[in-house]
Amino acid sequence: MSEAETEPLIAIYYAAPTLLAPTASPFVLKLLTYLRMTGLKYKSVHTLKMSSKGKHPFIVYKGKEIADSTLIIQFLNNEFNKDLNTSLNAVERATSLAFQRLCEENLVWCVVHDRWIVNTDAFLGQLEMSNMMKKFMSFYVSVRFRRVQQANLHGHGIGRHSDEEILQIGKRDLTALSNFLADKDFFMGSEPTLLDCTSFGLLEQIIECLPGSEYEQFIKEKLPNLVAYTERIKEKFWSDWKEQCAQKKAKHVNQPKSDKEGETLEKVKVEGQNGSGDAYAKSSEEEDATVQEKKTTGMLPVTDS
Amino acid sequence: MSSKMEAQSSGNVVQGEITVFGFGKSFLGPCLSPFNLKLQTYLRMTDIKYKPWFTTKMPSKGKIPYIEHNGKIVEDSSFIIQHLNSEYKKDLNAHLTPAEKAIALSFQRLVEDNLYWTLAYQRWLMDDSILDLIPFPNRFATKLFSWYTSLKLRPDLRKNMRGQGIGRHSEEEILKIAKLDLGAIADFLGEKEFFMGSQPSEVDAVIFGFVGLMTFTGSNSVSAKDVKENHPNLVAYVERMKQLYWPDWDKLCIPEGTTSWDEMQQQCG
Repeated sequence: MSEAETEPLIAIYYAAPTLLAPTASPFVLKLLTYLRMTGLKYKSVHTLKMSSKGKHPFIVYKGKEIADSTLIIQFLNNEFNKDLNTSLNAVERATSLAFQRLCEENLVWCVVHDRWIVNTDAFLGQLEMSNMMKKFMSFYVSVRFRRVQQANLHGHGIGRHSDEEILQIGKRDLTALSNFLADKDFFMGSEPTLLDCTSFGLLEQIIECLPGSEYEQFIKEKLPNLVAYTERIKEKFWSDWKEQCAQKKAKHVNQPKSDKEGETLEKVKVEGQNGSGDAYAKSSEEEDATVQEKKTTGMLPVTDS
Repeated sequence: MSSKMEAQSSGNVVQGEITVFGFGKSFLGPCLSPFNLKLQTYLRMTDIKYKPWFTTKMPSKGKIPYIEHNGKIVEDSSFIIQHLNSEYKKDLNAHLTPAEKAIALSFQRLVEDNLYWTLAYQRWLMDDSILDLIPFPNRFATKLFSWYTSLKLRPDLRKNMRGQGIGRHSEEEILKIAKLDLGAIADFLGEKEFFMGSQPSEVDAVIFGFVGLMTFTGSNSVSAKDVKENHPNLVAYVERMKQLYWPDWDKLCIPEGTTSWDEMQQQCG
């Protein structure tokens, strides 16, 4: 933590960035976008440790862990007196919640299905790691991780459908998002609201982080307003997007575990930027002694919260 | 009790007739499953004739309801509705704009992919009130079903909820999520006659299927009490839908005093 700061920082825990995005998780991206929209300062701590609910992201604030992106946002809204939805009336808030559910309780599972069942190789290619690690990850995914996701998909219900049926469901949801957005700047009008955090977090994953997928093709060909929308959000809140991604290394270095792991895992340096850029500068060590961070960069990002 | 991969044929298929397979009725309602009530409400809204049938056998997706239509089994209430819309040239959403259809779909997702789990949690995992809904011939049968619930149904539900994600929350958090979702439904409905306006649409079948089933057959649950106390417009709405599309609701319930499975099955045939 920087000596100049007197306020405790919000520490966000999630897996390391990929070559294509600051995070592979739509829920982490949702939370990070919320923080940038509200101007709340935070630091990123890259870890494979999961929250008490077994997911990413989670935060540690004043020594307390809070899990689940929605609960985290509710907490931060109360703690810092923020509300991205102040301009919305009751019907608009209800509509906003319904679309949030569409994204987080249905469409995201189409992404999980594509990423972990249909097009796993495309995802592994986005991770910054040595060829040997990639082989290990490919093996781990096929033997273990894919089964976990299949069980999750089955539990949700969508996993019981055929690949084609799941694709149809995903396209239907994406079309709905496109039709609801229409030619507005943001989902609920001319100003960004909480729904934009959710929808950007998910749409960006589909557009940029599912390369070669049918969803990517569908969105780019049929729903250009969604593509323009994500670019608008990036321009406004993620001008440092490329710097926040993992950088391709010429040589992969394995680093030993130590108490200073957090600093050595630093992937995202934004120096000399105003506003929210500074807050993301360092992933320094937390006081929480239970945090153990793997040295290998670009390790498997986790299931979404 | 149920075997997957083997859908049951109703045995006396009439060409063109639709048979809707489900877990049958209860003392308080014509269906035990909200997805079944959604589907049957849609059929009534579109005037498509059908025959409900009690079954414990489930086809490949392992879910209820499913239909048999012209010898073909179709599963999943949403896919069934799409199939029947196509077969019978129906479209309850014809009057909606693309943005309105999108909003309707978003609320369908809110209900079916989120609220549903919180209601299932209250129905199955909070108490034994489910046992009051179906008939048992004797105390041993009640006990047997109770064991089955504890050894199979409840663990399966917990596993599904954990996979879906909502099962990782505490009971308090799950109930808060239910409250939030029901509040959103009530706020969006407002004083409108139907969910999207003055005309019924497909999402009305969804809302009635879930909120209606909870209101009429699970009135002691936390969410039912929440709706009764805080959302009178939602109570009025489900009453309205019931009167319009289910005037025979009470006649379809299992009569009080029924105790045998066979009698119940006949009632459902």
